[in-house]
Amino acid sequence: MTNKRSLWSRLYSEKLLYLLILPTIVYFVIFRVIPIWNMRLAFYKYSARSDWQFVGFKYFSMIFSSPGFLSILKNTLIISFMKYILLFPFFVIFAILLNEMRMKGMRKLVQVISYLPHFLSWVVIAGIWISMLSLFGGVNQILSVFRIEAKDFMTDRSIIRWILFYCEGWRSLGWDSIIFFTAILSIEPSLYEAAEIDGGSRWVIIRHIILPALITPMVTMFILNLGFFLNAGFDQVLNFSNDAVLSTIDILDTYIYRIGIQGGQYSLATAVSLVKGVVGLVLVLITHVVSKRLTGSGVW
Amino acid sequence: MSKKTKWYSPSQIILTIFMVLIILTMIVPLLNILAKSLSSPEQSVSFKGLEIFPKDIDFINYRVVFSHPVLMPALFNSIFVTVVGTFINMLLTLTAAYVLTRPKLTLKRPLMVFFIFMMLFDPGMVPEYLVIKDIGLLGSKWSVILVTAVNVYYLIIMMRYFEKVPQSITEAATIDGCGHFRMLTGIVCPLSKAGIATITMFYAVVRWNEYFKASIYIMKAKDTVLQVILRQFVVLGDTVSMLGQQNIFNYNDLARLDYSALKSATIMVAIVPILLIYPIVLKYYAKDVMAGGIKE
Amino acid sequence: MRKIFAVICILCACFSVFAAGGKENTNSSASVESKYGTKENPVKVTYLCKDVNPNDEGNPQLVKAIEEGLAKQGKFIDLEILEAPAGSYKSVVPIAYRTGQISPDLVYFQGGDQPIADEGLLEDLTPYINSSTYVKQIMGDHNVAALANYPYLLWLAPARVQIPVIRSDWFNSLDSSKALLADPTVDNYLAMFRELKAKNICKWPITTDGTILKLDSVFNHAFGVTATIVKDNGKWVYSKATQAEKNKLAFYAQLYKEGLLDKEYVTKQWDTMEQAFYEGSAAFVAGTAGAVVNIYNNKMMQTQGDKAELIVLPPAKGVSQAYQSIDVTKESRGFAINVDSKNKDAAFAVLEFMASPEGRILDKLGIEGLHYNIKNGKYVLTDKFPEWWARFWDTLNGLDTSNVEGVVMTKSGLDSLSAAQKYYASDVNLILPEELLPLKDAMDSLYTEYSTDIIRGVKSIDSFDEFVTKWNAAGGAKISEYCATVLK
Repeated sequence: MTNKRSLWSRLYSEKLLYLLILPTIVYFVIFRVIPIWNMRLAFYKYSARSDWQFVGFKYFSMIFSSPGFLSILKNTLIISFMKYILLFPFFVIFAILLNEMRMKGMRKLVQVISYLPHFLSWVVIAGIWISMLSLFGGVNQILSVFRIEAKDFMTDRSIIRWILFYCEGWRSLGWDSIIFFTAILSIEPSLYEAAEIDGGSRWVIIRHIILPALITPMVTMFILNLGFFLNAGFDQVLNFSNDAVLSTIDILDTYIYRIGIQGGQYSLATAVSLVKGVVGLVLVLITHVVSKRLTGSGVW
Repeated sequence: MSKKTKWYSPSQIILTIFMVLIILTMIVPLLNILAKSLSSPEQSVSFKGLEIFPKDIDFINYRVVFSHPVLMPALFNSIFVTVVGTFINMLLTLTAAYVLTRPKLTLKRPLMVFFIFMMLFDPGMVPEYLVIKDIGLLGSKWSVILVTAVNVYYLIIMMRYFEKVPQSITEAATIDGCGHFRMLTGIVCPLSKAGIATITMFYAVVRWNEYFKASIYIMKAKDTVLQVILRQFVVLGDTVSMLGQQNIFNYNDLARLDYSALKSATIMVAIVPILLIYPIVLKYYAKDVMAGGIKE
Repeated sequence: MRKIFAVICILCACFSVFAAGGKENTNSSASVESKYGTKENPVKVTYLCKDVNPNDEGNPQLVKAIEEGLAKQGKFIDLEILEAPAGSYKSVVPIAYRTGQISPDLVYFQGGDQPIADEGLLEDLTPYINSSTYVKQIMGDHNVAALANYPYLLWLAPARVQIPVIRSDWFNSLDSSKALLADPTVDNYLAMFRELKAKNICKWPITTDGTILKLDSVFNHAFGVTATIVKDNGKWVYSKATQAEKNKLAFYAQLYKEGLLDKEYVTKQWDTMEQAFYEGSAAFVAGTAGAVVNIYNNKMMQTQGDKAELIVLPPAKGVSQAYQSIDVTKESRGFAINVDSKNKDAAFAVLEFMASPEGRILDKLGIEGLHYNIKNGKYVLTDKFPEWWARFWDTLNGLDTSNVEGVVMTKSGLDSLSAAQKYYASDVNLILPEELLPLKDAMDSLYTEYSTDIIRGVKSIDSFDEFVTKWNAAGGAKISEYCATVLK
């Protein structure tokens, strides 16, 4: 370990860099650190004009002891699992398949169109798919061609989570696979030439050249997504909710919104946010450490 | 290599058909909405889910949407927020990513931990609201622009792109006496065009679609963004505000207006402007991303 | 030097004379006029309400007319309409008001006001109302009851009751309609729905917007669901978990099964529901008494012709007969006066003026020359009249319609109002403390899940007992205990 003088002089030589990153840091201090300090509201009873009253863990116990909380947590975890873990391989596969396409014109077309859904906000997407999945909508029309009876998908509790899964995939397939696709593109051409000389088939190339190149972005995205595990997509759930399926897709964020924001219970809402942040942090830390041991790369 | 797999081989054809089916699921619903919005109210009512051609072209839905008193100012505000916002986003993200990817940066670990922490801890609506209020930005477009100035997720992705710039080049440049500023603008950025185009597009779309923060931080109708105005109608069913108090019985056929077609027109107005940047971004992709794949 | 000193003395003397004189002036006018302003110094009152913007058509004239009317009473008020926020009013205004971002004197709330009132940020309106003349006069019974419980919101409008309506041409063509009007039992209602379906008049006899609330307004009392909280076996419980509710849900399930209730009702919203109604795929809907039924009627007649004028149906008769019980624990929306306002009396004076006969004309009829013209002492409504809506008090009370030529409200609208009054029942409910709110939320989610499933036949009606057990475990039992302490 070099001594302190070395540290300061190193920092001094990098001063321009720290200057460059200063605006970003200032942004975070103002718009994140200070609000995080405000999160102490979770331990106080909110009052607009007078001092906040300290109440300790009252709101936390209110949430955790509420019987409905468990089912909301369960919904959140299940939906997150489906969206962040089950859906994940599809992005990688799509990128690989895209790369395999030899018809250049078609590949461009597929790429261009696959980005489109991501431009839409969830309000729009919900509008589109609720109508497509309705009793007389597009999907049932197709099913009727195969003589399958029309089904009201949006109100079926056993299907609704898969609908969320599918719509999330529909929206993000092209978009989220961009990272992987560009990673494939930056593979050294010499690797391909070497494989060809060795007489490797397409599958071999994919397994031994392409996949390894994708490990870094895969790990990065996977770990980062874990940090958001308790989010599960507020915007989407809010727009897809209806009376029949609410109990299955009600997640932490919609719960906060309903009770905390609309109900004016600001401290309660902040308490739940705090819990989410802590859990997300712990998850990322654990997976980062584990991943570094296993694959050599983590988030930093 | 190109000798082995022809583009018209059976596996290629199956692959292509498969991919086309996937994108059909994406484009058909959009075309359906477009067609519905352009059809006359009598026809659009009986629109089935898979129709993609308008019946009886009628612009009445768009006339109604554009007659909203604050549509044009809102459109302008959206464009302003998106352009200025994305610019600030990229400025901060590029500089930060550059700094964090410099080899042997002393404070790298603490900075990374700091940023990851920032990313995971969303303070929530009320704590953030209190800060915006105390700074005095409530009611201004700048509240929305500044509050999401950096997205750490995108920052990390940007870092990955920067890390791909070969060290040999950067080292050579440093030896030649290249300072950080020139390095960033003259070497690292040009070599990461695909990444920059990608992240710019990511930010721009998020900016354009921002609704919730805009709805609580900006109070006045003429200062707010397009999504707020339009969503009031589509979701909250606030026809009164959409059609304007004074217009509600002006058109004779207003009573027969097909609300879902009107919604469709609203949706189109909400997405067309952002789709316009699409070709611009594609231009940057053309060389690096699109033409890529196996080098023929 | 001396000269300067003298000048200073003289100046000081002059100042003190002015100061003394000035003070005396303000002293004398302090008492009466400063409350209601003077011609030279009118008192400023700011007003914030949903969908009311300062430059919308009619509003500037309205403000001027109000100020002039008040001036005639010796009250000089400068009324200013603040611009309504662009986003969702009920999400944005409470937080903006509570954090002090906005501070209007008169503010309309449509939800979110309870925590604000709890913090003491809204003025208690009881003394003002007691010393008023006109506000007291045009108040409805439900307003009086609500204000007694929660004196912070004033809302002089008819109670928000969902009134069932149906097209008169269809209704008159049915055989079962006479029996229904004579004796609106549940069975007669069922017969009517069945006839609508059998004669293929429409696709779905009944439709609603996502929930069964509108249906409840017609059938709750008939099955014995008479209030939100009822006494069951001597204990206070939520009626949602009683046998009466079970019977009602069984009935709805039957309606659904026979194809009498729109199978897509769960995903319908207000606009698709209205669409189905106007285009004729549904026959029976419910709308809020007064304004909404009026709009339904106008639109229906515009779409389907005059023959389709709407007829108002009575609530079903059974254990008792009434539309949905009106919750009077508090008004769900209304005007409040800011506790920090410097001009509370002036603010209330505006509200009082709008309740007076002169104010009623302004509020309900609109602007002279735009929405009505005065010919031969009568108010003749113009074509633009339907575009006007009351910025303050929606009630028709206090409006002298004898000199009005033209339709202030259509017959259907008026019928719905009188029906609402005829079949009025007041609710039993209480405001839960914040500790119990998460429990109630969980209980409500449970109810939504089970009721929607039972109605759609996904679960059988027997699962209702299972629901009651879960309901009690989720908090029903605990809240019952709380009810027992509050309601005696």
